[in-house]
Amino acid sequence: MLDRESTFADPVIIELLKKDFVPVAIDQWYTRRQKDTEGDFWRKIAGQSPRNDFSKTTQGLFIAGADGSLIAFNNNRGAERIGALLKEASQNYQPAAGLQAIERKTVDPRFTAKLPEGGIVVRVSAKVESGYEKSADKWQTIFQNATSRDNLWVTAAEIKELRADRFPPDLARRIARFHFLDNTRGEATVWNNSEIKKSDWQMKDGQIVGAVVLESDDQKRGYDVRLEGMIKFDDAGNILSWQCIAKGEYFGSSTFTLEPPSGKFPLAVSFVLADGDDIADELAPHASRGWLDGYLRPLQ
Amino acid sequence: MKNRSWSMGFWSVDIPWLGRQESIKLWFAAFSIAVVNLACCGTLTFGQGLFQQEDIAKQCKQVTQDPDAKWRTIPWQTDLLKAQNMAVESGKPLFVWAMDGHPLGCT
Repeated sequence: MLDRESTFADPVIIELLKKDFVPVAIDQWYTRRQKDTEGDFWRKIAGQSPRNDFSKTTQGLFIAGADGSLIAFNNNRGAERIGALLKEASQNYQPAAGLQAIERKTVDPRFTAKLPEGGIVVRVSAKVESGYEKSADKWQTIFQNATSRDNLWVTAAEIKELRADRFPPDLARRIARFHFLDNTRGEATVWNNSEIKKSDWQMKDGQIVGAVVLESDDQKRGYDVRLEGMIKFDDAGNILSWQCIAKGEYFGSSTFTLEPPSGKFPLAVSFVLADGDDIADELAPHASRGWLDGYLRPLQ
Repeated sequence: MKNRSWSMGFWSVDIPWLGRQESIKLWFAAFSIAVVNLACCGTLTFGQGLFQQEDIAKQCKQVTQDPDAKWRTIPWQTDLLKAQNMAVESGKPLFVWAMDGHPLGCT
């Protein structure tokens, strides 16, 4: 998120990427593990960089030829530095002779999560509404004002239940465990089943009310939240709109979401039907990484 | 002379300007309201929530990433092989933004 608001908000970098590069964004947690054509190509690129131990992260910014030859690697932010790398690479790039498009011969199903047939995507966004101490640090300020983004997947069977004004238990638990999170400063640890202290959901004429209380086993993190909203259907039972807002008091942090406001602070989470206009609509839910069944059926 | 002060027994409140029967009814009504309130406490109810329905869309909009954010104007691909194919066709190099968690989502 820091990169989105700094490096990739820089007009020079945006122009260079649009004009002279093919920009691609990947979750390397998947790609470095994939035993397939895409994974092989990623390991070829990353293996030429200091990120060549594939049992560890390979995150960073990479410039590479279409043949997979590494041109530059950087893992620091700063528009000036990245801009200079991009300029140099675009000026000097000579495509290798005999370049060929790589054909996708294999796909590793363990890391290729697909939206179940007939399912829908709901955009999930979270924001800390207040509670931070004002910071003079540029990066800290970006974190404090950040709105997170993830996707909630809802199955066709669950849509049918919702149409009948029944809130499916798996969906309730999926939302509680994987989406009632403060992930505004990074990747948040999901809740265990044992950490759901209360989960009440009701539906009536498409209106939804939910009340959930979460508390980590070590009692260092928690969220007491109430959700309200409305789902609208067409005559054929398709979902036309989904708008829910959850608000409550959150406390604590997890490994990659350090420096939350002190004590309890208000966290809001919105749920809105995706319309496909945003490229992020096609991404798998973060909590489904390598574990789609567990994400869809958290009760089992 | 009529007693003008308030007094409260177990089942009734003697209110100076009401008769004893009315006082009992009033006390019973207050007791009933208290029981109903206790019964409702902790249960979910529609229409008594944090927001009016019309506010929910507004609230959702306030908790959403800026759709016009500058980084969104970059034509990001999400499939590395598709991007490689495009790089071959266009004669351009690849720029790969690789993160732990998807850079376009996740957080």
